[in-house]
Amino acid sequence: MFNLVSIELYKISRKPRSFIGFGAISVIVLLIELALYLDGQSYVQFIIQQVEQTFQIGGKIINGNLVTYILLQTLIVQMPLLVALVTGDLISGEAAAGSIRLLATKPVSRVNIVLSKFAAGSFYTLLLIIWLGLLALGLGLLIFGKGDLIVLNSDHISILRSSETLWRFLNAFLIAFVSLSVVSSLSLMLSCFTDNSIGPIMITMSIIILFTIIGTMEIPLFDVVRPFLFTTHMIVWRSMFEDPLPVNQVITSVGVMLFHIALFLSLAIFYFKRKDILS
Amino acid sequence: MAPAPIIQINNLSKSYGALHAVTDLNLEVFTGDVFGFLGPNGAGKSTTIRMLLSLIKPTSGSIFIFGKNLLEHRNEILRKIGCIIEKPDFYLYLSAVKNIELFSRLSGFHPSAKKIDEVLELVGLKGREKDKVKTFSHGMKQRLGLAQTLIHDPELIILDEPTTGLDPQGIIDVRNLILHLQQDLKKTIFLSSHILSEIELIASRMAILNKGKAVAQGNVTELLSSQELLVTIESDEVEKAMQWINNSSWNKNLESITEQHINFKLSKNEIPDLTVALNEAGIRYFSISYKRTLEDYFLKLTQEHDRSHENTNRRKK
Amino acid sequence: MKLFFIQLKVKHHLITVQMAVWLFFFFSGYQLSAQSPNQVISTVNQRFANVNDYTADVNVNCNITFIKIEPVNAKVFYKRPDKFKVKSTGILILPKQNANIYFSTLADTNSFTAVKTGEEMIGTVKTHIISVIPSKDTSDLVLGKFWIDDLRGLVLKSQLTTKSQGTILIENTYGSMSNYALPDKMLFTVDVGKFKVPKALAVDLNRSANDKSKTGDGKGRITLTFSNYVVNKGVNNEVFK
Repeated sequence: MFNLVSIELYKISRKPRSFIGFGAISVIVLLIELALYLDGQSYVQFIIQQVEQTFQIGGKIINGNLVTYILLQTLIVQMPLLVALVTGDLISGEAAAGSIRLLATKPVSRVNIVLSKFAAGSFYTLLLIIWLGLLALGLGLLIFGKGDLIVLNSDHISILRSSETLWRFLNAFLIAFVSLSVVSSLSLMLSCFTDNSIGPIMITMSIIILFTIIGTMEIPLFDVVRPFLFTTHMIVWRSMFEDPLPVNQVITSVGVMLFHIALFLSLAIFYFKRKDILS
Repeated sequence: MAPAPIIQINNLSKSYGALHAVTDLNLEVFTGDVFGFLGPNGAGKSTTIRMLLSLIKPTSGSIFIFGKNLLEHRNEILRKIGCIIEKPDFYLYLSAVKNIELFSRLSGFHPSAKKIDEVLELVGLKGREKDKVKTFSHGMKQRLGLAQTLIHDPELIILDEPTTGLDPQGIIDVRNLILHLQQDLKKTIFLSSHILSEIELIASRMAILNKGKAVAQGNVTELLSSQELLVTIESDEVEKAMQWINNSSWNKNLESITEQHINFKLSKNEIPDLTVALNEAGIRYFSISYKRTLEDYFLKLTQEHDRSHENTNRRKK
Repeated sequence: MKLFFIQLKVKHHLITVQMAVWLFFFFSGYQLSAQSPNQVISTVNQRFANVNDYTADVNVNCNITFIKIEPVNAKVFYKRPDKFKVKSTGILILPKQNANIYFSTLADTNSFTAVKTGEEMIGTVKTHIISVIPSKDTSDLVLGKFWIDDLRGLVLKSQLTTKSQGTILIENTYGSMSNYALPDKMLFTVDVGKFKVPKALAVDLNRSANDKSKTGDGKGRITLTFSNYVVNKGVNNEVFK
């Protein structure tokens, strides 16, 4: 299995499209950090204006932690696409190119083929998250320094001490990794159903957008389905910045996401195992 | 006791809804065979080969390779097989060497750089090892496909149209390679091809498929020796020859005439008798030749099968 | 008989002394209760006139419905006449008015009209309630109300109504630094409204309405607890930049 995974990782590392994600993250992070460096105060005013009507806020508001937090919020739309761009192509791309024929005649089970591609896709996702963390948090702290983090809740502001932001960020990144693994498993599953590489990527994003719309619209009919949508739980990484930490909610959401990963993977394996390879 | 076949296909069928791609196919390939697998387009050759390589699941029937059921011992069997299925498609963004390395690792084999170089040289790709496959022509990809097939020293080699896209020299090279693999390295080769003359030159046994069914199977020489040849005589006394032919028993073998050629349908054994008869009749001729045995045999069989198939369908209606 | 008259004389002296003492305190009290509002205010100004500069550690503790923040330690710097700075490594929420609000408000007795509106006991201390109305219309302060302990020259409580920042109540507790009119503790109380942000920006998207924090009494409270005062030792102007 390790052999298979290393082969898949090598293939991912040699595809030009794999670097789109890293490039996009780099550009977005650097642009936003530059903008906040030059004019962060105006942006921060929006966050703190209600408080400043009655109080004054002292201390270093714009710091590496706040910049990282803003970046995470911004990238929440792009990251699933950047992941699906690679993972959605893992099987359908080979079918389109024809290399699936050779691959499927090798003495490796189809189950292991799917699992190795998922593992490689997950590792790629992890690398993306690490890159995001290094650029956003690492570079952010370097440029803007440490400081307490102001977090907006629906009915209050939390100020989290600098000493407790690191573990919150690390856990947020970890949960984000689980969230994006749902995306990678979904796109991988869709990749099994088709022989073109664009289809799974587009369908994955369409599903995410549709579920997100259902999840955010305040329509009573949608209240029934909302708890079962994986998109509802994908944003639970934000809860790492609540005080007190809603541990039960986080555990539940992570559990739902792990269930979805298992479900999508199982469907992918079930279908791919039985599929006649005609391409 | 007869040797066990290396490939044994029993009552193999594959259907896609109402379309029967392969129907009740029985086939045996023995160790050391160069087995030719022939049939017109849509006959079910690729479907059969894909079932042999577990790319497609049979609707019914069984496949035994190396004496083991393919369904139950898939990985063990595939480890000893090298194959090309239709046009070989590789990872275009990787080099030739890297493609060979990756695919052989999947077969559980870790070739040394020297071994890869040797195989690439064998198929005529020396000097292009480090080039990305996207820069390769179709023929070069075909050669790379052959290299990939051979790198892990398989016992059974399955080739689906291995000479497609090759120039005449390439075709000869592949033919010689197959013969070398069979005669010197004792490999068993199962190949399908449209170039019937090539099959005739190298295959020891063959099967002909038409509309998903085997219409003939057996030793090539035996199958073809029982068939008539088209014998052509080149002469400048065609009129005189015609008069003689019309008055002789050779009339029944006459196929056609042109200004300088007379064509007979004969078995191989009858050719010496014809030459003696021509000499006795005093008819001058420049040459006697015969050609296209397998093509004729192939076309005859498939056309006969088509007619029989249509009659069966008509009767059913 | 002689002894009786001696005892009578002693008693008379004692009564006289008692009466004198009583009269002294009575007239003293009468003198005090007769102080003008400006005189009361001047007791405060006199106290604080001793302070040229000071630094102190301060612990800032917020009890505001829509702000969740742990108490934070900071450093406070003051330099006469009006330089004031709070520095901390972390974010802190402070009242808009600085801790020396009285001194800037009460220092110039010509800029306002002071009226004594009553007296009130704060704990065991009797305070004079002095209302201050600025003379100029351009002043941000609309009305200031001060509960002053004139015996010690300390403002125990104040209620300031400003044009820009509404009404704030400030309650002070004094300890060892009362000589300088520097409090140990200041409690600021303001009116606060509800806090709302667009849902998409909030971290707690999935919280239901039932989970949300209670609205509270509509008041926000900030407690500043001072310690380690260093008075009149000099403060660098760079600190206030």
